[in-house]
Amino acid sequence: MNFRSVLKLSTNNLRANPLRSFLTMLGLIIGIGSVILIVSVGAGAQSLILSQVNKIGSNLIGILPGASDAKGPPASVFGIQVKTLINDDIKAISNDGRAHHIVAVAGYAQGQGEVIYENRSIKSGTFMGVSDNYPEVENVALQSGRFFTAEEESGLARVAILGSEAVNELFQGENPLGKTIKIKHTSYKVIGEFESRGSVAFTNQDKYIFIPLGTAQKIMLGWRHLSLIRAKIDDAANVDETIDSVKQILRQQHKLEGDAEDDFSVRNAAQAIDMLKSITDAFRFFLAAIAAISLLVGGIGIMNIMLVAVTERYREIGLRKAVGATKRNILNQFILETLVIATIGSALGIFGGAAISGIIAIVAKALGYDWSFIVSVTSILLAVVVGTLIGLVFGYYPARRAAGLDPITSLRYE
Amino acid sequence: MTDLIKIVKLNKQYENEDVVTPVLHELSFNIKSGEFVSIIGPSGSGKSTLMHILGFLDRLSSGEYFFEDKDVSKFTEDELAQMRSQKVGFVFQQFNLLPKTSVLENVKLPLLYVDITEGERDKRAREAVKSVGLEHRVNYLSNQLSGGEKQRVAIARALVNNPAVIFADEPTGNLDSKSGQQIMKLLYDLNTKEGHTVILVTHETYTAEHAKRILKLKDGNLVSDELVPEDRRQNAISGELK
Repeated sequence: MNFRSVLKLSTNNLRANPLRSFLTMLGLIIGIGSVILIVSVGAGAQSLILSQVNKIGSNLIGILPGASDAKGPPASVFGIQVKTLINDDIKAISNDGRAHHIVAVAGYAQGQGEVIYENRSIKSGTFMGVSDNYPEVENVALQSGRFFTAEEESGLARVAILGSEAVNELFQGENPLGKTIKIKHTSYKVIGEFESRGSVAFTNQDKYIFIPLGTAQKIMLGWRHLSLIRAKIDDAANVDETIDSVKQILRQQHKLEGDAEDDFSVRNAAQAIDMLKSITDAFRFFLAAIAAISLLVGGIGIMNIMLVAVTERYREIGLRKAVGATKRNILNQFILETLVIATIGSALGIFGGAAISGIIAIVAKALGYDWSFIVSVTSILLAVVVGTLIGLVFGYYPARRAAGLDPITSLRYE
Repeated sequence: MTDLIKIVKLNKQYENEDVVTPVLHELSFNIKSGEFVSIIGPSGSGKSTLMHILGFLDRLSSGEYFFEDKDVSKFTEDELAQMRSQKVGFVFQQFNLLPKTSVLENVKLPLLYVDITEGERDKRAREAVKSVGLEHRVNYLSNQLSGGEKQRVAIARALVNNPAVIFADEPTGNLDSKSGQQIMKLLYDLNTKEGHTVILVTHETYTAEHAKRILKLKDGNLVSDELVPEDRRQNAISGELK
């Protein structure tokens, strides 16, 4: 029997009921779409995490105020004020011989407020008070101008270095150097502009305004404590050793003895990767569960509709047998019909899943993240194989029922 | 002329949960190639069952059935399907056309199960449509046709395989008398002009008399096997009795 004419007949039947055909496919579309989405978003997330971590550098450690267990981040991450890190801690870490792998240490104090230049403003801008060796710690270069000096920092100078996006927003093409901006009604002289960095470790510092740490603490915030300390280590291989040393130094500095819990947490990029991985893994597992259920429900849906189709087409089946169709001819026709449904459903699922993944990639890029849109050939092959298998498995039973019909009774069926 | 169909002591009974229902009893007859035979009888006489057995749609319970000297009773299901594909064409009371499908595609249906090229299928189907005088309707959908036209398409479909015998099961049963008359004239012409063997199943004597010969069934027995007098046959064909 001619394959092309059977294929044409199969598609005729699908075209006769377009809505029903679509609904039949829907479960499969969602299932296959989820598979594509999981693999694609997983690959995108992985590329993002790698690029974020590569940018921050694997030889950097961060010290956050407040305790944290191995599973979750410390409270300060969620904006809760914890005052356990102070300026003396910076000195302690940089001067202690146990942490001799540390090259540079910088303290951070972060605040929010309106930033104004002439008639333009950033409503809730972020200003970051940092130590004078911040560019060395974060490995960042200036686009123009200069960074503030140690003297300016200790002298509570009101000078600011702007991230590239902050410059664009406030100055819109004007040269910012030498201009005066106001942060929460305090005037600052702009002395430098950082080169664009994009998003690093999931924060976009291009939007920030950097001022001397002392200025931020004493004039802007009225704090003695720090939001964060970052330390640069000579080699990534010494990270674990240095983390242990830093913990010892800080416990001593904070007078924590015996079983007392740490009131700070020390982390580095590797731990950040682990944490992010556990989040993306949960996300993947969730989608995989949806995919598995949808594929099963989709398969059953297809079988259900095909069984209805067999009943509806008793006369057609009887007629085909009367004009010479063998059991195998009928079996092939109905399996092929299910396969056509499964193939179209899989194709729509692939496009749907890829489209959603593409939207996620566009949104992530718009937010400044380095997200790659990847739809792997392997995932498409997997989707096609799974779709075809579902067509065969769930199409076989209805097809066998059709093939086994007695031509006389089915011809008389009303 | 050789015997196309040879039936010897054919019995048919249906068995259902130990209840045996006899349908056909000890039938014996021959049909030669080129004949036009009517099988007539009241409903329940077994005439449709006989047609199904002769047309390879059903099996006999005992006795012998030779088609072109081959013993059909020993055929496998696939061999029977092949016989249906190559040797017979059916015309049903209900037309049984595929809905929302063109005349050409409907006529082509039996050729899907024959190993020939699509071009050949198209050519043969168009010839068959032409032979029933519907070439102007070839691209119409089956539901756009009148009852008489539908039955003509069904006849074209029965002819398209160039079968050895055409079975017509109450072909005029769903038609008005004028269309019915035209369909019977078409079957008559296929027999007399084209030489096709036609076996007609009906309960109407008048319709049966279009044939040359009538086999009469009653309660599963063959009660008579007679030739139709030529004057009665001509009356039936000219439609004078109606």
